[in-house]
Amino acid sequence: MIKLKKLLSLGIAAAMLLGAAACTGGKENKVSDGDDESQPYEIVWLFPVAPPNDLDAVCEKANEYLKDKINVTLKLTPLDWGAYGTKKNNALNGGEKMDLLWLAGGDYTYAAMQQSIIDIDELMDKYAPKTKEMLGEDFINGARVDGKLYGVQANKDKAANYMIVYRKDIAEKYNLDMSGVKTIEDLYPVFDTLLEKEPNMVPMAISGGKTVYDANFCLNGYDSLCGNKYVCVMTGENDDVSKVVCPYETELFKKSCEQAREMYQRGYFFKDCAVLDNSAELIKSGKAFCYWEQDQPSKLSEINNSSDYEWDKVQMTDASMSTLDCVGSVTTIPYTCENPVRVMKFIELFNTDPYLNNLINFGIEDVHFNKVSDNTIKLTEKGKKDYDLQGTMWERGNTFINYTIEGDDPNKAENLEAFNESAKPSPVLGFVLDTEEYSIEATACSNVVSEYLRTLTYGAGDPEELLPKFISKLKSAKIDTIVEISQRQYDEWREGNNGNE
Amino acid sequence: MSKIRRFTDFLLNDGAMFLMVMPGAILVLLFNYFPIGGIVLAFKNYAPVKGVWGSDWVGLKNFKAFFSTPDAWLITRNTIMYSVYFIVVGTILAVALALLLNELKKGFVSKVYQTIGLLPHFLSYVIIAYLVYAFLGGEYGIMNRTVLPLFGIEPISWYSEAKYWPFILTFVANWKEVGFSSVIYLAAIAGINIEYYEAARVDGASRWQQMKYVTLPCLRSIITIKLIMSVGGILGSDLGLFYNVPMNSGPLFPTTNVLSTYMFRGMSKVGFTTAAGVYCSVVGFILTILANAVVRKIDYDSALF
Repeated sequence: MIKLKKLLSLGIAAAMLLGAAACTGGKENKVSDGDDESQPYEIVWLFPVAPPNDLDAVCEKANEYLKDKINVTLKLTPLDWGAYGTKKNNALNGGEKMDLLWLAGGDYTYAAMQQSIIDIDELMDKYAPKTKEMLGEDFINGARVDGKLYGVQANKDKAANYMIVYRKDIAEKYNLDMSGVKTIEDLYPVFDTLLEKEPNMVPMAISGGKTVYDANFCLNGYDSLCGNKYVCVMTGENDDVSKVVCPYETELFKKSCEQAREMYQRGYFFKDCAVLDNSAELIKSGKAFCYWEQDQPSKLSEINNSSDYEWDKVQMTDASMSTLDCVGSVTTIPYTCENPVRVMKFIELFNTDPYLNNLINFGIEDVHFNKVSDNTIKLTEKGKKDYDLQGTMWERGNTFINYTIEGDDPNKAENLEAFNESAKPSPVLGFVLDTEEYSIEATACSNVVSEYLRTLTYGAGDPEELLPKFISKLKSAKIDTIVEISQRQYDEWREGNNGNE
Repeated sequence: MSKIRRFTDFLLNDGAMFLMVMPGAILVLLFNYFPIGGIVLAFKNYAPVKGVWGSDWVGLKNFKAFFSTPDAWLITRNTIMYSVYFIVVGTILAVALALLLNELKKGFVSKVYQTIGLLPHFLSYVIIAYLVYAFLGGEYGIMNRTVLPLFGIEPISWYSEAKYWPFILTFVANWKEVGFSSVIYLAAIAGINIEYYEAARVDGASRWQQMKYVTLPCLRSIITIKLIMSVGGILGSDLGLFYNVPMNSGPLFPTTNVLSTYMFRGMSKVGFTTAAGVYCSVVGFILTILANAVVRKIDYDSALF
């Protein structure tokens, strides 16, 4: 029996060692110059959207076309939005073979700092000059991390402004004047009338990123430093742009919470909003009168096209380009890619070839859509059912060569360009925060934020009681250290940057 | 030589047993022993590009992240408190249910109850969270709409009152698991020698006395073994239960934030989560050994090892 025990323990030890060894996927980044196009290469592409039924058919069609062009086959791997964050982390950490990986905001900058996506400056210069020209130097600089570029941004709206989208039919029916709405308080009388006439309707649907707090910060002007949860730079007229602040300690946040509380108590929000996030269902089923939305040209016609109701908008802010907008949608090449050169060639092709681009985005002609004119299409019933990428064209490459769906704004591309031109660039553009430095403090702070943020910004809790608690708890979780570290990095960047100008 | 001989004898004689153990043993080896090597990650700043061995050593930094919160005490208290609740209440309920089911001599009825009791075990906590919401929802919940008005009580906003949740969570967890854990006790009861009962009946023992003096003492060792094993998991807490069922509602954190939810909300890095996992395992390991030692002192035969 002793023998057996020894054998077992040996086996277990061996298994442990093997286990550890199997995890070592470490590999050097290399940019090979010679790319032999006679060798076929499979490109695995991960992006978030619910996988459509006809994915294989579209891939097959794309592969036929791509074989003669650059001899690659495409393996599109869409993943559900809800699972994307975890799955892409697991894939990166586990060293899975991937060639294109969609990232956004802090995820992108973090991956770049970790070097788990490769630096593509050289590749882009050599193999994707048209893409580079199309994106423009300013925009590209916004995605640089420590001076290096780690991904190809989607060519789309490069800025954001805020609007309120509301039900046109309801507004007309009860003679609600939305055109006069300039501030959040202007909404109150409208909502009061609405509640009287339509007691079963929720005046405003709110959800994460679409609350009074977000709206107020956008109205004032701020830069979220690539969507950071703990620090931001306020860029309003009366703000000091050299200071990094914690958004929750600002006066504006206090005001936002008080407003949210008042609106909640007046019954403008769904009563259980802080518990059950059902804003999407409310909007879809026609039970919500209005909601906040990030605006861009043609957004409204897209909303109208995909909804059973008639919507209109009140634009609340001017367009501005912040650090988050620059990295809001980036396609990167992970370190596990075996042939970055070919992948970059594919990106160039995808961004410049309307046939390929629209094939991936809308499916196969005459099956998933019918052409109405050269650039306008009408989706077929099959297309709506079996190849619906839910309007996520902005995740992939150049949206300026997308077909227009019938009913959408036909001048979408021109309007978008004008919109991008008009956007005011944020003074923080180009600064990337190294979040690794405060990762310990962030763990504690993250829990504090999830404890209070939703309750406060949805108006479900009394700010007079909760806000001081929130702030004192943030302090004891060392938010000040995070602000200090960020401020130091920001100062260093500003010094370096002013020297260049 | 003789040792090898004995081993081959063992294989020949008990080969069937050995085969039956294999699948379980392989699973344990694959999923419990194989990944142990990954513990090194708790002491490293893992960067995928550099691989497991190539990543930089950071000493105990990852463990610091875990203890840096001002709520450390609250979270630890919650975690242990719930584990103890679940172990005590869960064991009592499961044993009681097993005893009751055993008393139902009609096989069919007993099977029906058993199946109904078992069903919730197969539901995911995501689904259960919405079932609970159907009861506790602020506006349309059954409790606030129907049940409370019956007793003339004002509606309660369940999802912002932390004090109710220790009870709610214990209830939900036991509702889900009690049917499943009673199966083990039922199996143990089925294994009790029928002659004990016959002897008891001859001595004039009633059903209640049989249950009290025959069935329960026979279950003692299996109850002890289950207790020792659950003590090891005292720092583990089901993320599904603590994250989904309270709908991640902020005001409930004082009574619903446990180690696993804290990790889930705050830990984005492989190193942090590994460190937390190592910590839970080490504490669990020590507690299991201790519990076993205590049991061995009191009742040598009931100890696990």
